[in-house]
Amino acid sequence: MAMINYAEALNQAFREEMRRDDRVVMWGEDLISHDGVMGHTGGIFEEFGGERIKETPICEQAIAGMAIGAAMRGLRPMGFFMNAGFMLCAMDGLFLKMGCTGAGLPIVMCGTSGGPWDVDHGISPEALFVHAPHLKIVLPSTPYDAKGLMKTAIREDDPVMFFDHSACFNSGYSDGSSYTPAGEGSIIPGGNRQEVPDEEYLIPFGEADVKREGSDVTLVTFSFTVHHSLAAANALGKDGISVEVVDLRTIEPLDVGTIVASARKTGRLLIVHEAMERGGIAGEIAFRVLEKAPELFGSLKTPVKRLAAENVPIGMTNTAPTADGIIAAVKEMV
Amino acid sequence: MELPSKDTMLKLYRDLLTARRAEAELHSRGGISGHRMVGEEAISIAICNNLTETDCFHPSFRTQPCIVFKPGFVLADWLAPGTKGSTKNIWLAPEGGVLATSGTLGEASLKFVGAAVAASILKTGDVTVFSQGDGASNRAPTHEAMAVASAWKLPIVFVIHNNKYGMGTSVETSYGIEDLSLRGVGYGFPSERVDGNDMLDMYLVAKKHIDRVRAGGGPSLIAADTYRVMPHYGGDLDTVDKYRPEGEAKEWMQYDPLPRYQKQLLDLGVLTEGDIDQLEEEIHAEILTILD
Repeated sequence: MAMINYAEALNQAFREEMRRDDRVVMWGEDLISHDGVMGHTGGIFEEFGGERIKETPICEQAIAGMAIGAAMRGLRPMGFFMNAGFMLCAMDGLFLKMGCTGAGLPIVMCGTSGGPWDVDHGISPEALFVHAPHLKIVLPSTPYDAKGLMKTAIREDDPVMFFDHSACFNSGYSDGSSYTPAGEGSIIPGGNRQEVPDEEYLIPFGEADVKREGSDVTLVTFSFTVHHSLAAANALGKDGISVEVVDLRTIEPLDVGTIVASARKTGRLLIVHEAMERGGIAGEIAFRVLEKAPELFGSLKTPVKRLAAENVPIGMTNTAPTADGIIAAVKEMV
Repeated sequence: MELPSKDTMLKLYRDLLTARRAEAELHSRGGISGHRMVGEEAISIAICNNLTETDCFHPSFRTQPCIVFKPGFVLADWLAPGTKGSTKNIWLAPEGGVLATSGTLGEASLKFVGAAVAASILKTGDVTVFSQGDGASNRAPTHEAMAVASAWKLPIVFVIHNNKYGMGTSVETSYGIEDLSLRGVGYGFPSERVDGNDMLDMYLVAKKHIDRVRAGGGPSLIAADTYRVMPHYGGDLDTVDKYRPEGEAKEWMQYDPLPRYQKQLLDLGVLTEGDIDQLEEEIHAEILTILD
């Protein structure tokens, strides 16, 4: 068992899958010169050479569109957009050509969500892609999950949107503050490092992971917000409130079964995400729960609640939920 | 330039005549929606006759049916009952080098650049040719496609069909340049303007660039001048006179590639009047056999 961080986890996934299958290639912005900015593509060039890892011009539409043609002609391309907000430059390719007519194309599109910088660099755009019928959408919160989910993404035969998160890389915020997932209540014990198995493992899509068990409130979340949620759950535990934290890991496919089972047990359902509230994935999750378990809504002790960023752009203020906000929201429910 | 072989010249004539007569037959039966290619066929036919079964090709939207002249496809792919007079059934045939088109103009250029990336990484030796009209060529994806093709020296030929109109917007309105081959110059492509209505010139220019790309010379651009004789689509008949100067279409009719090429072949002694009549009959019969 090695202690690795989020970037190392992704890097291991890339290397293992590129060794396994020559058709896996990657291109994107600053993958070699800046190791993909977050460090996760470091050393790939040295190991696999310039045919299998290429730096693109700043051409997001090309990063997406080329992947489609290349996949049709025998490659399994991965495209890197740096910040997830930059993916929105390529919505024709991502949404229409992959999302609506791209079933069966083995493509992974990677972008880094989150952060308090500004809307272009810091947005979490995952909900936009949920609307497209053929996209799998992955948002890992930990090194262990990042590696296992990335390996699955690379082997997946449909297009995958893979959103890593700037704070999960623990690279610090521009205001000098940095979040340490190893804060009190974290499931990542060593700084931002976590043990992962030496032997190969894959994590299937559509299987949520209960990151902390509890009996009073079900807290459904994903990506970096998992860490805020765990910190909140830890603090609430001291007040005698037991919170179950469900990390969705993929929002499409969505593991509605695990959410329903947990909410049946606790009688309360809170959905938390970093993206803006209106049109965010929380609304979709709540309705999918309603469809799967219509009786549940009537039997809950308090109405389903969501906590998300305010409907204002990220910029001078960052209203994404943090542990304090989550604690307050849970206390309103119990 | 050296002329192509007699067989090649005859094949080009046969394809041109087939495209013209087939479209007319479909139109007379009400079988096509009206984005007609009459007068513009020579460009895509010239390209198809320089490609292999595994090369990739995106014809301009209007000349899409010409894909049947690419090795690996047959006339029935366009005309057989059930196709409704469209080649849509083979718009997605990746192994035959057809990677679907895009209703959002220009986007398909990126797919074809991706195909060229695959060819270069997998070392297949396949060439990609991406054609589209002057209208689509202004869109951003085309520029990103050319930027990457240039940076990565990919095996791709871009072709701009300058048919003078994007729907009702003239090329004078939508471009600040008259010679659209200049679009390739900034990307470092060998770029050439050609009379796309001259079948032989078009064939030879296409051959030169495709051969060069196939030999590993990096991307190319061909700007082929032609003219959209018909309105944008059938329903545009009433509005076409609003945006098209009087007499313009009539003037262009004298550059129609079919009679021009026919005369060239007669002058060269490749065809006789008797051959022409015989080919008309053969092709007419072939079209009717597939259609009926």
